Amino acid sequence: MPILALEFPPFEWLSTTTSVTVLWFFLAVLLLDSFDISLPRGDSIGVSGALCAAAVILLGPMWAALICLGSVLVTHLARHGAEERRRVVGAVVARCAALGASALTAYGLSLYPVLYRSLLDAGLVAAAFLMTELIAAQLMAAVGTGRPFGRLLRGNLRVQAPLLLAQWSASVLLLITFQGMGAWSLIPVVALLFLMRQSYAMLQDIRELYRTTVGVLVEAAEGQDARRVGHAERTAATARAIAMRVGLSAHQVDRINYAALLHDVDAIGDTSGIAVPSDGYGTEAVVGTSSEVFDGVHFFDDVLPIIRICDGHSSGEMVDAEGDLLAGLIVALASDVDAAEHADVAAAHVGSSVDRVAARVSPSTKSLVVGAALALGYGIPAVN
Amino acid sequence: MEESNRPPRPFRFLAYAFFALAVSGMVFSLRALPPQASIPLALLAIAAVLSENYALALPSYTVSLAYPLTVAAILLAGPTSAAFVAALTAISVADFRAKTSPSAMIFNLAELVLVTLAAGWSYLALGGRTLLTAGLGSGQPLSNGDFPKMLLPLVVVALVCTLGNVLILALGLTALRQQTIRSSLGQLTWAIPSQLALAFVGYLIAQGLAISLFALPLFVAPLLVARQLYQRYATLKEAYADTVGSLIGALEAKDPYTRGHSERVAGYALELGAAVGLDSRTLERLEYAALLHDLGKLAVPGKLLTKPGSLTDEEMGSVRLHASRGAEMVAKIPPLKDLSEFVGNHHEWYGGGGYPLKAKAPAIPQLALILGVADSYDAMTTTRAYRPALTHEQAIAQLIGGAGSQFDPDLVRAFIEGRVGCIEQEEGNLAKVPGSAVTAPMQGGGA
Repeated sequence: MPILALEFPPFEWLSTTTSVTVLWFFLAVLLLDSFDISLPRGDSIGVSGALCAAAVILLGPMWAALICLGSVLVTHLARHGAEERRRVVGAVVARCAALGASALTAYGLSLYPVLYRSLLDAGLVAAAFLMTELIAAQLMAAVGTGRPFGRLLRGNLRVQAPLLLAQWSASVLLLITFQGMGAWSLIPVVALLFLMRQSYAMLQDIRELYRTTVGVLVEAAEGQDARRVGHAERTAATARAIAMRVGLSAHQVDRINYAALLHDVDAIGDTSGIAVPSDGYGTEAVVGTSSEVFDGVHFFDDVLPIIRICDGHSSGEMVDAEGDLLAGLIVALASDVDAAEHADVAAAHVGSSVDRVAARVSPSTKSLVVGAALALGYGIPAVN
Repeated sequence: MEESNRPPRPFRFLAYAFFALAVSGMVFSLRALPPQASIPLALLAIAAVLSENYALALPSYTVSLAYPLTVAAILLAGPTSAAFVAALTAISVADFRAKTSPSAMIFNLAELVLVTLAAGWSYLALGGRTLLTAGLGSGQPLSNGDFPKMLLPLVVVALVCTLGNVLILALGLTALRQQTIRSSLGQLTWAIPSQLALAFVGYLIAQGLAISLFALPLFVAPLLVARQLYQRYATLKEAYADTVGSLIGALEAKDPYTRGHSERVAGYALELGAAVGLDSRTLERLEYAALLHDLGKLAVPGKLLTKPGSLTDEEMGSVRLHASRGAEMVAKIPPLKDLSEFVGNHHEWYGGGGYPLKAKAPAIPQLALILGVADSYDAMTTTRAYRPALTHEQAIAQLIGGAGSQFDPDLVRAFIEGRVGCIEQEEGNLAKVPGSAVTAPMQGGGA
């Protein structure tokens, strides 16, 4: 059974394909684009890249551009309207770059007829599309938010690599099956892509459920003391913003979000035996107990080291990881930023943990965090 | 379906009956259409066995990537060969390791073979054609000219495989767990959309293999990614109730009198829900609602909750706000929004007179009434700042006293039957449970 059984149409910038095939491609890409998964950090993940990459080879770059850009414009404008112009422009630029890269790859390969029409070509064109779209999207995000491009790209590559590989496979499969079945092959390929999308969406949904539940529980507990209401949520928002500005991965941002929500829970929980003094903490070094409250709740196992650091303990590891210290400093700083902005919180929030955490982190880490907070416009308290 | 203990007799009977049917079906199929040996089919069989052994284990059954491979085998070589591939997927090392009972393994084998034969023969009967020709793997892939006439057989294969799978498994679960067929279907129907999508993936696999053997590795990444993502989702979902329970428990710890209250109420509510025949999805919602039913109390000043003696009217008013506050908070969690009415109504009384709205049954949702019974029982049997714990017998007497006024009499009866497990012992008391008579309100329930 030959490996080089593919017979792509000869490379043409605008192929003479039937309008029905173009229409089916457009509808399939539109369907997948409209089910993009929105991520908490503001961007989204989709699986339509697999079809776009295949369209470059099967229909020619011009038709592919019409289909893919048309779809991204329709879905983004329908979802966000014209207000979120930056997001729409970002998506269009990323897709243009991906189309350009894959078209040039296909064109370059077509100059060597010995190689063209092979499975390898299909793979190269699909890889060019998918990688360029990811890189361009991260570049746009870095330009728009001031986050470091290298860290953003590394973090996204780590998270999205399996999904990219799966999309690449789906793209090549479409190229293989399109030969016999024509546009009918879109149906099972879209089903495969939808399956991946659905699994990812379910995972995102359950993560969101955890996030919201923890937020609501902490908010409920804060109701005990009117001065504290909203402190945890605001601290979490500030900490997330600083963490993203620093360029931490989505997983790290998630950990920091939970740690920020729970960092003061010893005060609001007022647990027996580890209660906060009614007249507040003294000025001497204070050791918090938030981490003890959630000891044994396995979901927070990887969040507890950060809370321990904020509490003034060791993270619990033999050597505190620099990443945990960085995260601890971000949470402590975000908490102090909120206390500085809200007099009520400051009154209930005696004893800052920023100084003791800052004393344990390296100067470069400290300047990274403080620099990010200043760049975001936060008026931060003095850091040693 | 994995059960390591000896399954009940109805299940064993069902398993052997299905096995006999599957054997008869195979004999008929072998005579009508002998299986063919080919390299693509052998590869499919190996891949199916491997993926079955890496199946995703869920509480009710397992999600296996072997399913689309079996569908692919139907298209490639017809029902008989596909049934052999399906039978191979029933060989799972995990089953032997877990010492799964022989009848459960036989049931799984029979189910796979029967569904595959039914789908395969329907496919051929409706004009479908096999994509592999006899010999060493040369194929005749589907072409543009095959459509749209091939659409009907392809759709029927997906439907028969998916629905057949769900129906037979539902029968098996019903016999195994001695629950209603509705409850079994409730545990399985959620998988229908992804099973249908997997059937289409099976077509893609068949078409890819009919074109080139080298297409098979291209399916590994998409299917593994989908499986891995789903595994992580399932793990988090399984842990949600535990995590929320622990979290609530940690926050409840501020009040030594209510420590562990929500988790215990969840336990009682689940017992009662199961006793009145709620399906698994509703039981899951009930568990979440029970864990969160006192969310509003977290915001009540601790000094009120731990105050010895009676509360002033104003203080009682503050404490009673917890039901509606809790409902508002739960409504902020979008996937759990529908639970807010149960949380907000868990202090309403069956005959009216509760709070916050003094609503009466049937305006009070059943889950809220269940929470009311479970909450009151736990409140009565634990020590509070204002009184010591009642004994189990005293609490049961209070429930009986409040049946028809505060509590739904049917729920009280079911709760006592389930909790005590000795209906005869309470027979005398149960006889006193009124249908609708309004009796004196009980003392010492939840706030």
